[in-house]
Amino acid sequence: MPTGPQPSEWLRGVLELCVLRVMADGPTYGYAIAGRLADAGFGDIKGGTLYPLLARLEKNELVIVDWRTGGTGPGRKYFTLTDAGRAELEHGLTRWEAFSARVGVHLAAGGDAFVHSTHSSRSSA
Amino acid sequence: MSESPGVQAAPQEVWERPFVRAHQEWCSAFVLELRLRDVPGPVIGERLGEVEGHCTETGEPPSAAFGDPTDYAREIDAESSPERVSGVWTIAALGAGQVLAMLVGTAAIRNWASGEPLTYNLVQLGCLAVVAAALLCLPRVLRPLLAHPWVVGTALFAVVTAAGVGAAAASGISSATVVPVSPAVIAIGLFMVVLALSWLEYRELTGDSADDLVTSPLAPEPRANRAAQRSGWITLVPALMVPTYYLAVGIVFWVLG
Repeated sequence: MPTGPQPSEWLRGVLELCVLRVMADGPTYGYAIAGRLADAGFGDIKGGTLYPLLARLEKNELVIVDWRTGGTGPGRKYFTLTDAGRAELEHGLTRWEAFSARVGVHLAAGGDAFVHSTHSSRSSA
Repeated sequence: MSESPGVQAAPQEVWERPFVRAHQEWCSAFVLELRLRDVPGPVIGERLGEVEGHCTETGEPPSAAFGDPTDYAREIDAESSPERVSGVWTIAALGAGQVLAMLVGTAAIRNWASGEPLTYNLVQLGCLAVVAAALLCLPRVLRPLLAHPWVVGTALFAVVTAAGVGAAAASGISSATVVPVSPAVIAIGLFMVVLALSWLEYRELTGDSADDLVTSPLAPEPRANRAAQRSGWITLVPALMVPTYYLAVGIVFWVLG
């Protein structure tokens, strides 16, 4: 079933968790994070969206940063998860699973109710 | 991958970088907004380094990847650590002190040359206070001044000019109080004060240039040290401006007096 891009409001709510998940695989930098998210189907995450989020992670000491030279560009700022960052990721995953399960149950029930009410109104007509 | 971890580039002003020169308008607006928010120079350089690194890899111009520079600066600053510099207020206070000392001191030279005592009345003291207030609030009005230079600049100029004209017009008021010190002592003493304040201002400016330059964390370009060589002269000019003007006006008053 074709799904298309998700609404930006949805992505905004879970982007931090998705970025932390990318970082859990090892030190990485902004462009690589954007690439991983694009590969995962989240679309083109612009620098203007990604870097303020990375700055917030840095401010909250969920990551440590270091600049590395080399590669194709003039240098890259690498982000590495701290213990606090890993704990935040674990906590976020637990909360997300509970939330998405709740939404799933609600939408399924709402769907059943909608189908049921439509069927009833057609029968009475 | 060919990265070398933990390598710190030598500090280099961002303005020397080809990327910044190629996107001068965007980068200048970005740096200006962060400067107006008192973000330290090295932090601004790091933020600009993120932009340069990202745009180099994506091939996008900064306007496409990061949007409007002023909006992006506000957003990134809101999410960053609240580290701030406060040197601009010290410079404003030193500058205001220098100008006040110069206004009173040069008036004293004029009276010294004509052999009259230095006098001030309440209106003149009020006008001096207005000039001091206008100078002290300069850091606060910097943002509107840059956004609307003619409107705000004209308003500021009008306030200072009105204070000057008011002080001159009020000189004939009979209720003036004679300053109980010889004009010569005031003129020379205030010149010493101006020199001392200039030295403090120079120290403050050179301290800024060492610690608060907008330096890039990225690999340096060949033209790295030009800014450092230039900064000594750049900081000397504003520090010596008021003492030079004091001397020039003093000589003119002495010759005419």
